[in-house]
Amino acid sequence: MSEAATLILEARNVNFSYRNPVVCNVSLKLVPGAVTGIIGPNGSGKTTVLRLLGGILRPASGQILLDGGTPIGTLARREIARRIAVVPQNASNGSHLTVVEFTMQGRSPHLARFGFEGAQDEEITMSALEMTQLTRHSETRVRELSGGERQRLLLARALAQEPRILLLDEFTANLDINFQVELMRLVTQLTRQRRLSTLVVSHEIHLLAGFADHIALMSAGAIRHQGPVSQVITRENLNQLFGLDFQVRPLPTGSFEVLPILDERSPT
Amino acid sequence: MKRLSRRRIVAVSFALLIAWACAATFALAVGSVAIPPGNLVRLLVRRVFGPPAEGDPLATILFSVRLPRIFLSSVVGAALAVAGAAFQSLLRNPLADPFVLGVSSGASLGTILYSILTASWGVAAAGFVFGRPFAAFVGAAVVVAAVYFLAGGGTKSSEGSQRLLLAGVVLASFISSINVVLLTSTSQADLRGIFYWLIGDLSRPADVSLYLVATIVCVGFVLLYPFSRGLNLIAMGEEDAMILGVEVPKVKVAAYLIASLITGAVVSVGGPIAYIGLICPHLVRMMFGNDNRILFPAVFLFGAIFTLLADTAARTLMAPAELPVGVITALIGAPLFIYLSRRRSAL
Repeated sequence: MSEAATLILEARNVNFSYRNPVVCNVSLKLVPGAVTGIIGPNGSGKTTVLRLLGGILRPASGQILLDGGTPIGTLARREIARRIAVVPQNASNGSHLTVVEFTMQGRSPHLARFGFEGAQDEEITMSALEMTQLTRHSETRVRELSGGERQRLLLARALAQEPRILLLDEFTANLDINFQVELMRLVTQLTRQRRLSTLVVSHEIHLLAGFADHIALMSAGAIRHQGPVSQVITRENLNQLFGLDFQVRPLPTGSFEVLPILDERSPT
Repeated sequence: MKRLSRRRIVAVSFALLIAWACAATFALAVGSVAIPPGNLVRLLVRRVFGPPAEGDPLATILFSVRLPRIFLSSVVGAALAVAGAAFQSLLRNPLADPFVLGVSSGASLGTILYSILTASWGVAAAGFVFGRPFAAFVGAAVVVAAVYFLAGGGTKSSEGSQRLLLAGVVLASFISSINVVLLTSTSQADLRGIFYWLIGDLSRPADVSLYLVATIVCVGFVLLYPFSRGLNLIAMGEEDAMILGVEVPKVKVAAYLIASLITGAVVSVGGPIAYIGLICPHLVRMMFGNDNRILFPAVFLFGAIFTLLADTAARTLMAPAELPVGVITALIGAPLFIYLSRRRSAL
């Protein structure tokens, strides 16, 4: 298969600025069946890259290409939403809805203009709830869910869109470590099973080092290093990025364990 | 889970239509002159099938006074209620309403300026039937834009949405004062009537064709309805709506314009009647849920029923004296506003 056929979503020399440049000359490829992670300190522009890839923001220059050629800006929002699902960082409204009603919103881009959700949409919604282990909560109000369940709900709504590309923004923020691991395991598993092209933006280095296939390290709006985890997650690169010393240890499973060295007595 | 279907929407609309017919029949029968049911039926049947009953005072009351007023109050109520529902989705705030947001005051300012200008220029206002509702629409749209920019354009956060509401309330009272100044400084005679209109009054025979206003409102509703699903998602948050495939800017502009247009049209005849856009959507949501696809048609009909009954109460409670209908709706709406703002319920 040629590269263009397997390639799903690509940023090519993308720039974006509000008043100051936020994203500088970013090129990034998402491929099916793989989790790509963007790591960087706060304000490094990683969320902006995700929003550019999701078509929420338009690049000032450069291109976001879908399926190896179509610029995303030429597509209607509905067309984008059928292919790309974004799990945003900020919680949405809708706490008064039930879990199934909330998830059903994901069917919206697939409905006809005056259409109503049919039996098939309900089936897809229920299977999204099953994948995210929310079936038993389907009639619960969103406001009654715990933090981890809420994140799974956002993932369920994204899956109900039946996307081929999944963009997750700080998906595991503010959760206990056991929930973080559980969520990342779920995302990785779904990415493999459904051949999704998944992007995870996070500042939890240890999580992405453990679960991602490809990593991009960002600082000050630019990608400093990108590639397979083994090449990118090194002591030198992380030190450069965060100004901290790290311990990086390869695991027998092929992933990496990353720990910041926090000994206050040692001189830096 | 009960899925929303076209059949359910039709059934609910049909039931509300029957309820409206019952309310209208009741409103026809009661008043300072009561018309017994037997007479009512006889007059209605003769009106439809027989020769006109010239000179029958009951027939005159029925067909020249009460029937037009019933249609007027229904149209006004339907428009304000559905405009309220649209504003609530757009601003993600259950307290948004054409009156609270100052849209109604803006529409009355437009109407008053139009009346004063046409009078002073000696233009026959009746010659240009679109003038008055159009001036009201411009007033309403200008206020919507002003409120939006005064609040810093921000409706993204709940704080921004609260600011927007506050800007609306402030602007509404400011414009109301301008309206009073304008009216007092003109030499137009019927001040009492105009002040009644400022509170919201359906008793004066409209000098704009009722058909024109009804047409604007119905066309507005038909144009608004296709955006109902997009507005459901906008109520979740604008970025969520975008992610789920809604062309957010397009839907927002269209919904703002349509809601302003129908508000302007009915305010130009009925005045800025308070809180209908707050009360009706709230009650209808309790009955039929939050989905705008069923809420819009249901609130359109429910607004008609509610305002028709409120106006009937306004003209019968102190008969033969009449209250402006805006007094009745404010008496119900203001406590509800306080209740809702304390509960801070979601849409």
